[in-house]
Amino acid sequence: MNGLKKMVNHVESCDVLIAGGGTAGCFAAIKAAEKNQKVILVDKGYIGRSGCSPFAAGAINICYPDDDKDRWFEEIVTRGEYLNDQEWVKIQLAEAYDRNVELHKWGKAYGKKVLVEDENGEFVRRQGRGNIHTRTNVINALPMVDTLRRKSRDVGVKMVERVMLTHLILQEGRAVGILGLHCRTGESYLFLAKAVVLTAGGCGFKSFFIGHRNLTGEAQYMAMRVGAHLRNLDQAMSNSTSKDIDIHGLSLMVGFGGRFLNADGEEFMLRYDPQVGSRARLTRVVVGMAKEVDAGRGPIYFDLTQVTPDDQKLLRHILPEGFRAFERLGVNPFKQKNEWIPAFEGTLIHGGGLHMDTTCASNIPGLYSAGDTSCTPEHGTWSITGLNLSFCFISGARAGSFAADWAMQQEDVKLSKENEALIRTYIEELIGPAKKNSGITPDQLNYELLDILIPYRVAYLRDETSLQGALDRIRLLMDDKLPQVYAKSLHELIKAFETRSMLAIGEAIVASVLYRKESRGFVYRKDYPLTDNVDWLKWVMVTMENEKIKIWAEDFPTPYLSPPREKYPIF
Amino acid sequence: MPVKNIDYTRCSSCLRCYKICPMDVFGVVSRQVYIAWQQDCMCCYLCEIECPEDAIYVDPQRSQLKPFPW
Repeated sequence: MNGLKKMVNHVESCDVLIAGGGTAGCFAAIKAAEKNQKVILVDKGYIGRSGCSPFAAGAINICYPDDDKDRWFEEIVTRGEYLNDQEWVKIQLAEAYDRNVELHKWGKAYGKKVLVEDENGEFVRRQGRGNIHTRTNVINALPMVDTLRRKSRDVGVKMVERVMLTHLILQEGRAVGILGLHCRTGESYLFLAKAVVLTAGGCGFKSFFIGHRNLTGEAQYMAMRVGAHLRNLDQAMSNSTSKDIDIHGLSLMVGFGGRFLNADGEEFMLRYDPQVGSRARLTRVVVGMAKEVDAGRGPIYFDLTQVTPDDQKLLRHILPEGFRAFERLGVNPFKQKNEWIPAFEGTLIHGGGLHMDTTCASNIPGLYSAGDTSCTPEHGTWSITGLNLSFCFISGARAGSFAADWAMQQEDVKLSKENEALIRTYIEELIGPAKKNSGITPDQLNYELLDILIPYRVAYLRDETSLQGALDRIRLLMDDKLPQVYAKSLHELIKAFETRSMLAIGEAIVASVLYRKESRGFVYRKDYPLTDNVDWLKWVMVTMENEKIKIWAEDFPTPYLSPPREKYPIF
Repeated sequence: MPVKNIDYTRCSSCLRCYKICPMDVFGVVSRQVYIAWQQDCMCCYLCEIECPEDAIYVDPQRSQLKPFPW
């Protein structure tokens, strides 16, 4: 340990280490602490104002005890295009109500209104994006995260903020800790733990869309580097946003009458999803937009002029940031349509992540994941709106609880000499860019990566040529440009590691899409336009061996609901 | 332009913005907050919404050029 203390500034030990303080991380921390475990919760930002959670745009899926669970199950699995882990869908339906009511009650005790209630004190429920029989509740994001922060503190969770976690430490094949760097002091931290839960979101590549730009995939990258299996990265997701500004809350907006229009003023989504039109799933919306533009019917607009005055008021209440932004641009979105684009969000929300079983355990003993860091197994491709936020609560609670059970059976961690040497190399890697005086800035490299990932022939209307080209270009950036990244300040040094992480996740995403030889969900392949339930009821899996991507496909079970074994066009 | 102005006639140096900013855009010198990394602002408005003195203005225009899908 003495050698360690010379190398790292802070060494802290606990039973359960939680990486990431959003809704999943806080739920995990609370549940582990309730099992009398010593819990440390670490975040790159301020817990409650970091990652996606504070920007959760109001939509949450809650199956009530008296809802028809079979019908909900069928809707979620068929609209998730059978890529869901069906056991997880069952868990989602069984536990969403309890977790939400629990959170709402915690909020009430702190004087916060978490779920939106009507005048009779009933939770407000709507038909949101993708909903047919299922329904969407409405939740207030900031009271939600404030409640979770306060509850975590009240149950004795130790919070460490502004530390970017970078390297997962394994010993005898088990996860035993994480190394990190303080974003403001530059001091290094080593957290040793009997169990590790990764809940630090996915990788959004600092692309368009609101609120996710500190999510650059470090948790997924650190896991992949030590051999954890990731799944569904081919389902890297997109939302959509105004061309001029970043705005969220689309699920609610289309639920309240928002429509996508092409340059001819046509509600074109009726062509691609006649049943729900503009309320189509995101998987269809973004490909539909790209198809319209490709056919010369662009640009694309979003039209809110048909929203009723009461619903306008509610939207302004739930999504104050977005409507404030419109106002500042001098735009009234309820009076005029707005130019709209897809917003690539990578592995955020439901875009793939750590493979896990129903206890949230990964293939590495002692390593758990929850929320966006995980492969979001309940969603499949993208089933219905708001499922992922409830999933963050449910998976967070389960991960914390199962990780605590694991931790109780483990001895205290004593780091091996080999690991001490390894940590030295990790620190060298972390601070490397600060030792250079010139080169490429992290922002420049980030732009070059986005320039590969975002064009619609790579992100939406894909084929072998466009994907292979993108993959080659990303690898060129990794080989030639990443070593040239330099940092002239601590702030830039943090960004330099973020860029390293984004490149690795970007490579894994494009390689995963290229691997899937069919069209399903967010994967639309012009060269394989059919959904193939004969040969491709498979999860695309990815990991790293010796810093190189390894990729394969795994058959998955469909224990309750199987699709007809046939091939059919995605549109 | 992203976070643009801090009105120092209003700012009470409570440092709430510095504490919560997800992108670590602010810096502090002698308890005075300043915009240190404007290009990293993601226009999330959290600083403006939570400023108790209404001393911060965030412009909705994106701070950095990004490639468009088409």
